Amino acid sequence: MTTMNWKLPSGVSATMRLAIIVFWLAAPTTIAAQEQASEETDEPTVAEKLSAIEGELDQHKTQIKAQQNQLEAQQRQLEGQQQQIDELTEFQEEEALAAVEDNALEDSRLLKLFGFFELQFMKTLVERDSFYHTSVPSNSSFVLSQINLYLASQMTQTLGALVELRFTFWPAGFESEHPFIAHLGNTELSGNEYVRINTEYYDYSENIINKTGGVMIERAQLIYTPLDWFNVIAGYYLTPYGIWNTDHGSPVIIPVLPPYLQRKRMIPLAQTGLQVYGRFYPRYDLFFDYAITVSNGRGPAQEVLDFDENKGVGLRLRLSYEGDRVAIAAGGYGYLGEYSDTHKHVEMWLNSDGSLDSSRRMRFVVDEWENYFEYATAADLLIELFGVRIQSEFIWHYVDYRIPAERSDPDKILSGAPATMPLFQASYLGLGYYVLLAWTLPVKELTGGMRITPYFMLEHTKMDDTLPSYNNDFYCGGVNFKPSPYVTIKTEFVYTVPESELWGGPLKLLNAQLVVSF
Amino acid sequence: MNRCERRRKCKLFSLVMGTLLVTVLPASFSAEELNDIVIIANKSFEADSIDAEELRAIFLKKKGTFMGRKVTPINAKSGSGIRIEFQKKFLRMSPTDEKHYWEKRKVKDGVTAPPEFSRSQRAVFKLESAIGYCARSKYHEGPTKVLKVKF
Repeated sequence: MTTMNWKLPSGVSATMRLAIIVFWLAAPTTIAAQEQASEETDEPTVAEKLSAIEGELDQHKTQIKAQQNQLEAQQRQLEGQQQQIDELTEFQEEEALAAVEDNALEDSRLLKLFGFFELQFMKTLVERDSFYHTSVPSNSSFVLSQINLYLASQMTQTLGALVELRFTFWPAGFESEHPFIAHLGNTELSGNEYVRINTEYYDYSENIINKTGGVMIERAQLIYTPLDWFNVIAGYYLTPYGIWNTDHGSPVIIPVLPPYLQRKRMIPLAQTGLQVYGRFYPRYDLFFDYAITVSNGRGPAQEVLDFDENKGVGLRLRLSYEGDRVAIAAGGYGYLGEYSDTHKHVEMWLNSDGSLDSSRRMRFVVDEWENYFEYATAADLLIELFGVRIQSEFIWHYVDYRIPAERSDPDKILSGAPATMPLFQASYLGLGYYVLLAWTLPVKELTGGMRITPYFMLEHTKMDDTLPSYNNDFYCGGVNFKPSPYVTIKTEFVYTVPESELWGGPLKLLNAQLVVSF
Repeated sequence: MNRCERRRKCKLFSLVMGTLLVTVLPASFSAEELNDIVIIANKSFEADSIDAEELRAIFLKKKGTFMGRKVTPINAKSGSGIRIEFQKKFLRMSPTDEKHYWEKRKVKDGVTAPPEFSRSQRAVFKLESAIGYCARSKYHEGPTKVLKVKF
């Protein structure tokens, strides 16, 4: 019997060795029988068979290796294809993004729409028959007085346009005339009719009664900005004086109610004409601004017509330092203008039979109705220190009448003159100033960026030194709260002390305002 | 050198290294952060550098020219890391502060914030008057030029 003393050739893997051993252990009897049979039949020995198996295993191994190589090649091919797909996708995404951004680059020069609206709540704390109610609501009221819409466009690098429109429900509800009853001894004098503007109309298309509002043009201007120190505005622009008028909108202005010097328009709030302005930089945080204004000046229809040849001119100078936590600015504006109001009539000559005398020229005669020159100077100061804001404005205004107008009935009465006599306006001097102190509390970190600004303002105005009944002192305190950059909520208490006793004591007013920017 | 001396020196060395780690590392980290933003300009600009205050004035639209030419600032997308970094380092504002600033400018002057692009370098490349910024890691050499910022 052949002994099993043999060794597997080197290079045979462990798996194959295991297979051979299992094969050997599992079939000893078969082998013995086969050996016996092979001895008898001269068949291949076990060693030869094993050798054959090993050969077959080698062949399988080679095949497996080839298949593995093939698989690896396919894997590499797949990876390559995936990479191509990824690159293509990324490229397509980049191109799409680039296209969007290219459009955005173009769109950035096109029309932009934004603006704000405000809802106000007013409550007067005076007697129901107080004379103040000629200018403030008799009852507590919610007032949605303005929706300002800005249309801005930058057509070229140097040419832009800005239009600001104010949509309002006014003048619906405005009481334009109050009748009066004057007691003269036992006699009652009365005049005027009660007139409240009604803007209702019947809309046949819907079979409903609707109410119209109004649209005001706040500004409409072409802006040419070739250089920092030389720019031009043409159109209807805000007069570049003071702080309140240039801050302009309720989202920016801290209190609710503007000061009297602003409300009484001691300087025209806006003008139609040209403005040249610019900025110089002694340092990049120090600015010297100037503006020169030429306009129709003030007039009965100053936005569209000038009733004299004298244009209103003004000069604005301002120096400002704008640091991180400290900002200081001081400015001034001087204004000189002529106010003219004219009436016109046609004059003609007739023949004896009443027909037009063609030998003589018809005339269109301009009658000077009212005329004055006005001189105004405004000064402003703004100091911002670590959240504390001190803001102040002063206006001096002199009106020199050449052709005085007749005073209005309320003015006549308040001046103390006999009500039955005509009274003409005298040249007058007016002045006013206010100081606003506000502190944005350092709680931004605690409130997640919300801003809380308590404020206090005082004002003294002498609108017309020939009419002291309009002189008053004005005190106001409140809180301005900005929960986000787009929403402002203000509440304030206003206390106005008139110089004249005719008003029946001080005016007390509660104001709240919600302003939303969009 | 005996064992005691060696121990003392070891302690001293540890103390010095610890101090260095506490003081020098944050400083070098800040310097690294500062280098993360690259100020870029269209190649049509001749300048190679810009004053940091001038850059701030341009991006807040307080100044409209650079080297005597009209300039268009290009912002990174609002809320992106690079924008926040730029706001902090160059505008010295928080994102909310900047929003407040632009709301104010819109109402006052009708002026809106600079346009925003996720890939500001491409916008700066395409727009002749543009100046912008991007992360150093995203900066591609060639299409635009880098402006050195002078503090």
